[in-house]
Amino acid sequence: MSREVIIELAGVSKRFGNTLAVDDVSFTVDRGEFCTLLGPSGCGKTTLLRTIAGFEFPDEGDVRIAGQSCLDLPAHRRNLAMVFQGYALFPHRTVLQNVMFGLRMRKLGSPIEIVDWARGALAMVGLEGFEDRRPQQLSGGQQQRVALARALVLKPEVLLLDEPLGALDLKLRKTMRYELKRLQHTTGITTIYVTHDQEEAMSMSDKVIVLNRGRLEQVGRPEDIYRDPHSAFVGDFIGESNLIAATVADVGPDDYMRVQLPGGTTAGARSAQAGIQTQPGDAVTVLVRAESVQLSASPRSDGDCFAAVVSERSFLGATTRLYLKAEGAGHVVIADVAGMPPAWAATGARAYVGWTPDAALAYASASMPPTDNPT
Amino acid sequence: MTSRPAPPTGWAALAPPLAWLGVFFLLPMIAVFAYSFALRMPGGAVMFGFATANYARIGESALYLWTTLRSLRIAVVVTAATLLVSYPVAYYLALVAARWRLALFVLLIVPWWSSILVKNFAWVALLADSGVINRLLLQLGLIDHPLKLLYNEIAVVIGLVHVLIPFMVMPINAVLERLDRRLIEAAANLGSSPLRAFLEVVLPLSLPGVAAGALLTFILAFGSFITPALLGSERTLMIANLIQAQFMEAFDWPFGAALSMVLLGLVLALLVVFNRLIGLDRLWKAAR
Amino acid sequence: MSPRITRRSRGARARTALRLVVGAVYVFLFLPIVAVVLLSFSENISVIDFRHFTLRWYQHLFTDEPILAALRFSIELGVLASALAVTLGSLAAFGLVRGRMRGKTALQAALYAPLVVPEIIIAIALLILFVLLRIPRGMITLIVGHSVLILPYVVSIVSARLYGFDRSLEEAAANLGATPARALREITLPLMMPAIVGAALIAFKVSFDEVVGSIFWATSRDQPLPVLVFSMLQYELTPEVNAIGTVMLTITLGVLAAYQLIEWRRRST
Repeated sequence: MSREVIIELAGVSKRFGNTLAVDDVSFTVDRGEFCTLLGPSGCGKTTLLRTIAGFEFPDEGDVRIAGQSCLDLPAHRRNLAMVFQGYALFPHRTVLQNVMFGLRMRKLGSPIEIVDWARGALAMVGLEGFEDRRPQQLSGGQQQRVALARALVLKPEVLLLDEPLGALDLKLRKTMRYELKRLQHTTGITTIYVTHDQEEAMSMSDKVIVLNRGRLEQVGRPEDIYRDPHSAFVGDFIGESNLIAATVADVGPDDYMRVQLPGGTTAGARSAQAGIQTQPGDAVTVLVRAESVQLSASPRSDGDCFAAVVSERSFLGATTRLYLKAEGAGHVVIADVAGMPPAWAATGARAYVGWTPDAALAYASASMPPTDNPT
Repeated sequence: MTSRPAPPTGWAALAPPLAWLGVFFLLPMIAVFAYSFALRMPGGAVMFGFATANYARIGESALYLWTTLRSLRIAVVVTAATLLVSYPVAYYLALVAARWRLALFVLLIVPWWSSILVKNFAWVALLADSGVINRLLLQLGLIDHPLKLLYNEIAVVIGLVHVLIPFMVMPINAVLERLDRRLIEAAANLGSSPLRAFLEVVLPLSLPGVAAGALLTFILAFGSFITPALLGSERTLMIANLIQAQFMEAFDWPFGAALSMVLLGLVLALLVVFNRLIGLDRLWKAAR
Repeated sequence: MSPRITRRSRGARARTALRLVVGAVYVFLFLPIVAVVLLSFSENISVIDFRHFTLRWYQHLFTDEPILAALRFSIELGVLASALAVTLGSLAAFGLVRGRMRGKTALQAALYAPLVVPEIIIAIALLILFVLLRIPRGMITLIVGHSVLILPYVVSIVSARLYGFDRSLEEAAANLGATPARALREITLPLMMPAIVGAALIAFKVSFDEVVGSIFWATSRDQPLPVLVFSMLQYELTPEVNAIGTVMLTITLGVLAAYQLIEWRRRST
């Protein structure tokens, strides 16, 4: 199973006025891959997509499509198709005419063939019968599918999607996620997807590229990024995590260590950044996923734990989220418990919080993002 | 490395209209400037040079000085009267009228866009000795003899105010529209009466719109030609009428050009001052 | 015994006063126009006599050859001048809105300048130019002069619409393979059509009603209607003028109504 690189960005940087929107970003996308650019607003993901599409020109670096630099190729000559955030359907044309547009512009067939293919594309997205309507007459979800059909009918080298599900309600979004993934599988088309919704990225992608403030944070498969975030930012952005400022108390073998938490108690942790030596006394940020937090009614005998009071409970359906305020320290820990929590863990009750050292990742404090855990 | 795709050609699109204005707007202005320093020879020919005789003549002649002063005076009176009458309308449209707003706007546009000729000669019919107004007043017994309402300064002022009200209402309305209502509510909440709220909050914030409207009205009044021609007399001539006389009756084009430069100079001076204080972009929005 | 004037009633009285003033202003604004229309049906030039309605003046009008010729001339002039102004003005609007250059404020000033320079000055200035360039006065000089006066209106209307134009539509077109020229032809221009047509209507109206400039740029043979009416008003005041005025008003307001219709249709889609 050979992997062929279709899109390659090498050292791309882009400035808007005084702001560095993209800072030395490099990555590749393989043929047939569903790749997501993920990050908070302002991280540069849309700029990167637009650069690939040809609407922005990088100040530094190169963009290659199938091995060839495309920088001197204007947008209308790149064999890519894009689905815009607002769908960008032409209001003065019918749905069918919209889907036919690209085929006409690129002269991909005879007029009869074009109509045929366009109808086929509409059928593929489940919109037969809508050919003669105007975009304004369709719902958001339907417009989105027209935009998709318009792009897919061209059988482009790469499909680009700019936060296409943002304007849809939650249920529709989840349905469309499944639809998109299915379409991508059926057509086998290389796809680059931009979103700030980490759940979306994780559920749909073969490869996730996490960006923050214009810089590349991490590239990898969803599972790998989840289990092994390379920075506290990535760990915090994906999934529900606790970030606790701590100090290294003792360094052990194989990247394991003991850290001192605020309040004086100690806990075990593992260095997430292999190769970065930490000394006792160094400041670190400890990342523990909410579902890895273990609660007990009485102090544990088999590991470190600290006392906390249950301050709030949030019922989320499949899980319950408990907010615990550490005694004598003040920081809040979030714990996700499957199903209903134990009876003793009522609001106001004291619990003992701990985790296995494997589940706690320690990062050198330079890479710590501001925490937004409620205090 | 690789070449950047050519930037969009804004200048290519702007070239034809700018060239057109360059030839048919800027160039004529330069021609007027040149003409103002020329002299008309007996027999009609024009000798170009650097004579300031035309300007001297304006300064020395009572007729031209008085006409300039009269034009200024009329323009000031018209601007003041128009402002007085227009501000309430603008206020009403922006802040008071609710459901009627759109209808009132459309109603304002109708007289605004009616031909100035029609509007002016309507006043002839209304203000004449045997016109509608005098007949009505006579019938009602309020007067014994018809009032001399026409072919004098009063008629010119009335005619100009009538034409210029919309030009004053629009800029003021535009500013008042964008006023944050909550400022007025806050003032009321802090205990000020509606009058004080108006004087201390609304009025000051509306001043840029007032200034734009006043400037536009003043310039239009000062340089007006049709209204004094139709509603005035030889004793109420304004600068524009004098200029026209030079070009179409006396045929002393150089002198007419000098008169025009004086008018243009005054207008440009006003625009420069306005730009310093407020900014010309407000004026473009007002003038449309 | 004076009644207690509460704050609320003071406010209500102020409101009524305001309404009265505004109403009076509107009456003032409409009075002359209504008078002209009514007088056009009256026997006497300045008496509105409701007992003697007549269509005499209109009948006169439709047999008065000089007036009809002037009317035809005005319409022809309006169409040609607005076509020219819309072309130039749309180009200017595109350049102003889409162009990336410095000095946009200066450019705006240049394009809107004809609005603030007194008409009389533009009139004589162009007259001088025409004489210097030996261009005979007539339709050509009128078209040229009108286009200068109309240009700012077109620029204003078209650029206003262009500012709000959804550029992602053009990007989508490019992404789907349209060259910039094709995107312009297939997407931008069709969607800008309502604004351009609107600008054309306003342009026609401004040309149709233009007086001062026309006086200097026309001849006794090639004269638009306002010039003819002006000389009629100055030298021989016939009752026909009210009928002519009403016709002019009808044409102007018809154009305006068409403009509003296009605006409303655009807003509702």
